[in-house]
Amino acid sequence: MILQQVARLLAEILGEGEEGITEETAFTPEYGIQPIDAAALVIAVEKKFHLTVYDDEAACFATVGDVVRYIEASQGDK
Amino acid sequence: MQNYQQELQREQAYFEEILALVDARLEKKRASGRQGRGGLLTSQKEMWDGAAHSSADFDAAVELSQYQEELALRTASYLTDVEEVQTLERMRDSPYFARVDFRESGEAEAAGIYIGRRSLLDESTHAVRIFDWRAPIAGLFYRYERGPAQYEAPGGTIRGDVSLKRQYEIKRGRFEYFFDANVEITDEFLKKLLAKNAPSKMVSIVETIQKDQDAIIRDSQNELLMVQGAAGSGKTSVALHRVAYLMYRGLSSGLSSHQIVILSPSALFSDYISGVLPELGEKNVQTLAFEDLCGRVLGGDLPQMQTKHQLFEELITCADAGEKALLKAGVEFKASQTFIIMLRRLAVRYQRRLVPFCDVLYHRRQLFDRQLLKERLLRRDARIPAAAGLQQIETMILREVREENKSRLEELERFARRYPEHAYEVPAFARMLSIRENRLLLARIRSFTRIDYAALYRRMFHDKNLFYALAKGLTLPENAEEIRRRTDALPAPAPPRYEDALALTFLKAVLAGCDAYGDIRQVVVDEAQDCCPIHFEILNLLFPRAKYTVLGDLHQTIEKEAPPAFYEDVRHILNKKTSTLLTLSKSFRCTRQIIAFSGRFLEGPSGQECFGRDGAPPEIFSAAGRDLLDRQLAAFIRELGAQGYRSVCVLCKSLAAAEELYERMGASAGAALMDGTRPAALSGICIAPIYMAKGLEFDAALVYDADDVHYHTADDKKLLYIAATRALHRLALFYVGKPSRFLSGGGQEDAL
Repeated sequence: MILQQVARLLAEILGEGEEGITEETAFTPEYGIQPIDAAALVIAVEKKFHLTVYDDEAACFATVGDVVRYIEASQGDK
Repeated sequence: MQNYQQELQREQAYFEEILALVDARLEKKRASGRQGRGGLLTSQKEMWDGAAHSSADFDAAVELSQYQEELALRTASYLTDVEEVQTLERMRDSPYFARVDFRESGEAEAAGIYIGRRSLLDESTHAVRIFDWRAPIAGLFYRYERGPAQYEAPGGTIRGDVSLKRQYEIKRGRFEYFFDANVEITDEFLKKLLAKNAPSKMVSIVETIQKDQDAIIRDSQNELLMVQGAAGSGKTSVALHRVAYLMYRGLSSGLSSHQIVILSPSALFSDYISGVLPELGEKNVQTLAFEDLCGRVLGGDLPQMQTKHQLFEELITCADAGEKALLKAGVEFKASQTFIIMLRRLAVRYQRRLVPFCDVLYHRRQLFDRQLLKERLLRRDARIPAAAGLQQIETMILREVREENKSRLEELERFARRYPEHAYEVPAFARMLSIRENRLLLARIRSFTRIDYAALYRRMFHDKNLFYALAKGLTLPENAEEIRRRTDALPAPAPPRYEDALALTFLKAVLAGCDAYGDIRQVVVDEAQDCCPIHFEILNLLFPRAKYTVLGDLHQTIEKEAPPAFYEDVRHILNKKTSTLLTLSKSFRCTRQIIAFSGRFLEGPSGQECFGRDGAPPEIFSAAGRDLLDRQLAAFIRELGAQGYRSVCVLCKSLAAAEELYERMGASAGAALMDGTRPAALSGICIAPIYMAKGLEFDAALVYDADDVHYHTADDKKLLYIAATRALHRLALFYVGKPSRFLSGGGQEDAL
């Protein structure tokens, strides 16, 4: 479910459909994702899930899956 | 004669009673099992039908979790019933195997103590009808002949007299016969047992545990128990029965199956012994090879290491004597106490001088000074390993950075707003810059807070000054420089050599600690003669709270000479409060003839006793050419099959040789190749390298290419010893050309 929500956020940012977005989708030009898109996603995720993502942690996000796991872990702590 | 008949009637009556008891219990458990299963199925159905499936509804989620809890309880209770049913079924097959009549001092009458694999309590009378072989009172059977005897009960030592020792043959729920045991008769019984075909997996030996074996099994005094056992003396059996015993005692002392670890030489061996504990009604215990330990410690840091078997293969097939000597010297050096000291010194030096601390700058100011960071590491609590100390520093630095990050982000946004031509949104752009900065900063921080163990190890050999500084005051082998250069020249990254992987494991365990096995209370090390000081040092680090049982045979080392002080070294390294070395010198596996023959492959008198079973004398076959030899071999194998021998192993010096032989005639002879990749097919015919067959046994062992070219060094001689002692009943050697000098029982070995 979290994956769906993150995919939707990313799709909005990219202006594309969310069908092609999976956990393996990487934040690289091959997937049509620029660094600024990734940064926008971080901001959107913070807003949607009421989290604070530290930038040293954000620097380690390589894929959509990383973001999803981060969110799950943060929610688990609550 | 009449007496026997009377006794037989009495025993059969007792047997019927016991069966009735077991049957009643079995029926009860089966009924409760059926009920339990029914209840389980009903609960499961209720859960799926009744509970909502989406966990978005909180109430529904609570209801679901309650169902799950009930389900878990019912499942656990059902499984316990299932296990008990299995135990009772096994008991019904063979409820007991021995009886001891013991009269306690001061009592008028002797009590008959029946001994079986498991205890059986008569619930109506609360009398113990059968004692578990591991119970203290059952020790009377293993340790004493008729006469004065004693055992340790919780209340103290109970003394008395054994007036009868009796053994039973009960199979598949049928009482076959019994006999009164004295030494001669039990030996006959054992001989009969040993004359059978070798089982394809190791089986338990409860009925026939010998006195000196029993002493090892039941030892509870020593924190370190070492056993030097001749080939075929039952070492591994004894070790496994000891584990079963410890688990039995553990019921009261709190030792459970997941607190025990068996270190086995290979996965193949682990598979071979995997039937014993379940046969004794115990859950299997974790069996690991050393390579598994290394993998656990090193984790994803390193690619698959060279295994010990691969190292053996490399050494054995090395054609160049000089190269081989160097390889061996390298392996020996890196496993030695000297090298361990160097590694410890490296760990200390790393913390004091080699960590590449740097100043941490962020948002136009210096957050941390490198000297400060270094001091923080050095002044930490000594109990915290270096890697954890560095991790704490990383956490501390990041905390500061995150604090600073807020104002840094504001500054970046101000910067972004100054350039309205940017198509990007300001917050996202600023955030992107901040994330990029953090990425670079994190890499810089981790360059000194994360330890690259492989790089540190390589550095030790690459930096000549460092190497010799670490060796100051120590005695290095004469080809130390050669070893250093060769290690330096190894490509990286690459699968590490066995000895380098061990050294890395040790280094990482020292710098990072290892929590994975903190629970382990008992470690059993089998085939310990192939272990070196570094193995035991690693064990010390990984299993700090464990007691040890170490078993080996110094005559069966491969490609190395076991130092005469081997067990002393082990004692010194493991450093336990109480320790002892026991010996099992009687070999039960081979026939008298095979033991006598294999003696020629030993240095000096072996002190090896033989149980004294007779068999055919070992045979030696020679042929003029390879084809002829192969045909002779095939014919011999066929003949063995006709004579009823089921497991036959053709032993070659190396895996390469075994593969070659298998190519030529494996299929036609119906043989399997033992190459370590598949579970071994131990019944039937297999072709194996000697080092892989170590610890296993077969009805017949056939040594292939037993010529002088293959076997002429001292190490080769040992291989022949290992090969010869794999056989229970038949041994044969085959060669072309000149026979190995060791076959004749004489001959000087070559240096290498």
